[in-house]
Amino acid sequence: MSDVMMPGFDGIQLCRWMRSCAELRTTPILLVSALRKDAASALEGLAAGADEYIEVPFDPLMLTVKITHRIERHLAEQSIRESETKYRTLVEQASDGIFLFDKQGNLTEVNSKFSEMLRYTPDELCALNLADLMPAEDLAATPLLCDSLDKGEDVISQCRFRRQDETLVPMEISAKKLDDEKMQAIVRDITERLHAERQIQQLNEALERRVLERTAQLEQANRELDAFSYSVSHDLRAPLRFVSGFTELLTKRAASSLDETSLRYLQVISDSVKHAGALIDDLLAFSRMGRAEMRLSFIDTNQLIQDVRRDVEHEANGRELVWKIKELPVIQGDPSMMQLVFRNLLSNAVKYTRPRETAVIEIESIIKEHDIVFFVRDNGVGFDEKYSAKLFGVFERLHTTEEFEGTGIGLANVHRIVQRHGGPHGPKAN
Amino acid sequence: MDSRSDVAILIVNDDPDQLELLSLLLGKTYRVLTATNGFEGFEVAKRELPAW
Repeated sequence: MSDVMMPGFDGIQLCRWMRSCAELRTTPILLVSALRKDAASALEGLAAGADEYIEVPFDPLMLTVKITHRIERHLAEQSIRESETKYRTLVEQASDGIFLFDKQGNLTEVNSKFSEMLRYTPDELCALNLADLMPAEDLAATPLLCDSLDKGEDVISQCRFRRQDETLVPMEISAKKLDDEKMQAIVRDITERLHAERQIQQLNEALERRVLERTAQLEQANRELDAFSYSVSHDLRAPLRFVSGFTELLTKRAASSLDETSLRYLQVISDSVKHAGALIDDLLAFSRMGRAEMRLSFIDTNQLIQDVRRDVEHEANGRELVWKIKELPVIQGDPSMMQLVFRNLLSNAVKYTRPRETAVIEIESIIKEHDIVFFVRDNGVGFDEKYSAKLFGVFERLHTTEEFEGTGIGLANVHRIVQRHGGPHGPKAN
Repeated sequence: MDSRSDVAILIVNDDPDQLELLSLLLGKTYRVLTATNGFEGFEVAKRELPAW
């Protein structure tokens, strides 16, 4: 703040010197004069680089108020300019399109990204209305000019914009009301995203189709296999009955005239036929299990285990059995099928602990995500984990009939029943 | 007015009484520097007031 009139080096000259000095080029200068009340000196001062020229009669208080006011205004303007520059840069640098529009949908300001997206110049865009840039149905479907935006709510939506060359570009738009007259919108080109989404959807659909096809093929194969095993078992039964019947007759008729070796041969034939008969019966049951209709009801597995336990305890032939049974859940399933499952598992536990003096059989259940998992553990002979996949196949056995009797169908049945109840099944070696 | 001591104002005036009075009044709010003629003002400005 400088007086204008000073002897020698006056305020006007100070302005010139300051403006020609690099560090002082933008320092605000206020010239104050109480003496030269003419327009000429004001013009001279401003031409010399002063920011303002004020003329006041010298009244210190008045002058202080005026100066303070000017300084504060200058500081405020400077901070507005700075923040404007900051926001302008931000808006211009944004990788999203940004524009302002009024209540009638006329565009008032756009950033360069937005004009780039739509291939117009910013000035061209500012002469347009949203209706010129969006297909009518998209504008109608996007609540840009409606009450919710007017009420100050954010609008986020998807719509298409029309480029200058008439091509359409899909955008995600987020709009907000700034003040009574202006709305602000931020748009992002989602062409690539939509493309990727479509691809994912197509891949998913293709995958689903293939899964359905494979499932249908598998189901068909299973049905054929069932039919095959059913007819084979059925047809095998009759000749076997002949073999067993006539072996019996022969034994009765010729027993007295046969030596020990021949009698043993007959016994082997008879045992083998019995075993074959058991196999066929089990196979028939297995085949029926695959086709039988399920009748679902609620089953208290505690009760079920108690019943099954009573049955299988006879199979222990007096060996000591120690049962460790935790609290079990109520499940939904076909009661006779579930009975068969536990009967098989418990019977196996009893059978394969035969080499142990005291058999320890533990039963418990956990809930794993949406599945109920049952564990039947025993201290029996166990099996190698690498054969676990085999264990549930028809006729698959890990022991010879001499070691442990059986047809190899029990666990296949368990597997099938558990699968029909929506389970993944699965034995563990331990 | 709150103190704005981060803002410096240089008062250039050849009348010592006016200068003293103004620096007293403005000094309540701003950091005040003084000079009694244009040349001295320029020297102080160069030293103290590089562009805001």
